[in-house]
Amino acid sequence: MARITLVGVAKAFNDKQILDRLDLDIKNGELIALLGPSGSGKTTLLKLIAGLDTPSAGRIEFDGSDVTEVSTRHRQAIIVFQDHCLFPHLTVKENIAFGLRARNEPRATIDRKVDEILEVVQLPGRQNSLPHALSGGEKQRIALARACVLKPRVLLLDEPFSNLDVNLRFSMREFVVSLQRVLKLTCVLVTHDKEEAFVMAERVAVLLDGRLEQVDTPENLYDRPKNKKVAEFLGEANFFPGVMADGVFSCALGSFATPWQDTRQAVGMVRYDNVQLRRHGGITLGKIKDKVFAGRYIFYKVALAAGGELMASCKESFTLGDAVYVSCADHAMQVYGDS
Amino acid sequence: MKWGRDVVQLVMWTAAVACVSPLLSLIMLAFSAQWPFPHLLPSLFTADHLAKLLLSPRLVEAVTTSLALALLTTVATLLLVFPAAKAAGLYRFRGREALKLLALMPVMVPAATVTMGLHYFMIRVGLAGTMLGVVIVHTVFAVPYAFRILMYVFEIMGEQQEEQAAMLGAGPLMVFSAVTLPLVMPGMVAAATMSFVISFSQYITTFIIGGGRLLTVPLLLVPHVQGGELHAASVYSLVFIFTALAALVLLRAVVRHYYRETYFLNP
Ligand SMILES: Nc1ncnc2c1ncn2[C@@H]1O[C@H](COP(=O)(O)OP(=O)(O)OP(=O)(O)O)[C@@H](O)[C@H]1O
Ligand SMILES: [Mg+2]
Repeated sequence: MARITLVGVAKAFNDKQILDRLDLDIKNGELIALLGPSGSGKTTLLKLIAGLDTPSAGRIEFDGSDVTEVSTRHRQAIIVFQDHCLFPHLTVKENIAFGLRARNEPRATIDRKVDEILEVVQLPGRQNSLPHALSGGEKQRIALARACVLKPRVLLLDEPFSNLDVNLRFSMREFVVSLQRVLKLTCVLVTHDKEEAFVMAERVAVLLDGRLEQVDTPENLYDRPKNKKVAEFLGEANFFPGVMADGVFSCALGSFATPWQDTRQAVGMVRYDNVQLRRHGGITLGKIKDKVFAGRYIFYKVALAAGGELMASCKESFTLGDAVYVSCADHAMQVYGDS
Repeated sequence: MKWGRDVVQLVMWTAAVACVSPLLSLIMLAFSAQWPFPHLLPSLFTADHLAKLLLSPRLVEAVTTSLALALLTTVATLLLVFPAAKAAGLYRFRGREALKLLALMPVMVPAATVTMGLHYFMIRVGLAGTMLGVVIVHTVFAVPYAFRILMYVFEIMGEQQEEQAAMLGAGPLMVFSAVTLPLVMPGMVAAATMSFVISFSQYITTFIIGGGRLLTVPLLLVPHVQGGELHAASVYSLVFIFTALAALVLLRAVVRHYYRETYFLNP
């Protein structure tokens, strides 16, 4: 368990910049999620931390000491991949014992530790199974056990649940969070699933086009995306071009008091679920143009009377063609520079 | 559904008969004393041919030399091919395609051409007519096949398993012996089998490079076939087939002994 610090870490493949000077401080014992679209360089970053690849610039520190030149073998940073990567020719016990054997621990210690960790991952008595005889979820838990039994300085999870079905994914999320707390592991979880990042992590780092655009708590990230790019990536956001003047932002939805004082062209952002639709009492009038039922929410596309469209998600039921008043609280309006 | 299974069975049996029937006629030839024209089976059997030839010292010499050459060729081929196949199968680098093509060269050019070239070279360095010289030529012809097989096996295995082992703290030796080797073992067995059989059945290369000083089973067999001595040719053929089979069965048994059977059954 260590504090992990990235200082100006960059990686290029054949002159193509994949990671662009990342700075990140991961606290000891923290579970941080690395969230980004496919191809944004998430796996690349994990490989750099684990020493499977070397950064083209910058350095990586564990507990303040530079490990950039330390070999994979001595770095004690372990990636658990999506396809679990168990050794197919070794039994569960031999798989888990692999790292302990590499450290030349005595046989009795190895046996005890294997039994203990199998209890922790709730698969006692499976010592002699071969990987092909395990289910997907069981394989993933053995892969976690194999890494955790070594008490690594950092545990790196690369989309570990994306091969599992929805229900199993939910229980594995809970399981990993509790495992991480019990063992007090520093943990980086790579995912492209926003909900997974929000549910599991203390902080979420958003990686877009090789840059860390925002590193924040799930609440802050959701309520206050730092820029338009992050808001767009997190999705379910309406954007309105408008004007800032004396701390008031005016756009097609109306005027909003903001904590920002500058005067300029700007873009306002409101999440779908922060848009209120009412039948009576309001200023901005619109008409329900489209409706999609999605279980927890109903998504509406609303055409504004003054021109333009927006999306809203809520539980109330409207029918196509209904006239509605559209509004949004001041604090739900995020305003970004017009660029 | 049932009809489909019958067809499959029919095809399989036909294939089996096609494979086994030449062997049967070889066996009958080897043991026949009289086999007049219209008869399907010999009219008189004898073990004379077998006894006479099996006891000849030349056969013992030929079998020993053949086995020794095949074993040495197999070892040399695997040692040469392993690092190259691993590099070509796992890593992207400049000249990777060139390496793949180069490794295939000896089998794309007619064998006699390659051998003549090598012969000239071996005379100069004094390897013509030696065991080492012959092993080298055999290896040249075994490498392309062994390389292909192992390269695909490495491609399928991928880098991840070795990387995982390193992250768990294993040193190069442990990564190799506990992960890489067991994972590519089925491919190694296939490559070894191929090399062994290729060396064991070499005729022209042994003939040219060995310069008549090394006697192998094919060298013993071919003159009899060409001379029309069918009984002798059959006996030698049988010896040839069964020695090769026995050696291969032994090889597999040894490998299975060292690596867990289950892995081969459930790769
Ligand atoms: N060894 C390599 N050589 C060249 N390019 C590479 C290499 N590894 C990764 N890349 C490139 O780097 C970019 C980022 O890849 P990476 O695997 O880190 O993405 P990711 O964020 O993990 O995506 P995903 O969510 O699909 O797993 C991709 O464009 C990929 O093509
Ligand atoms: Mg990835």
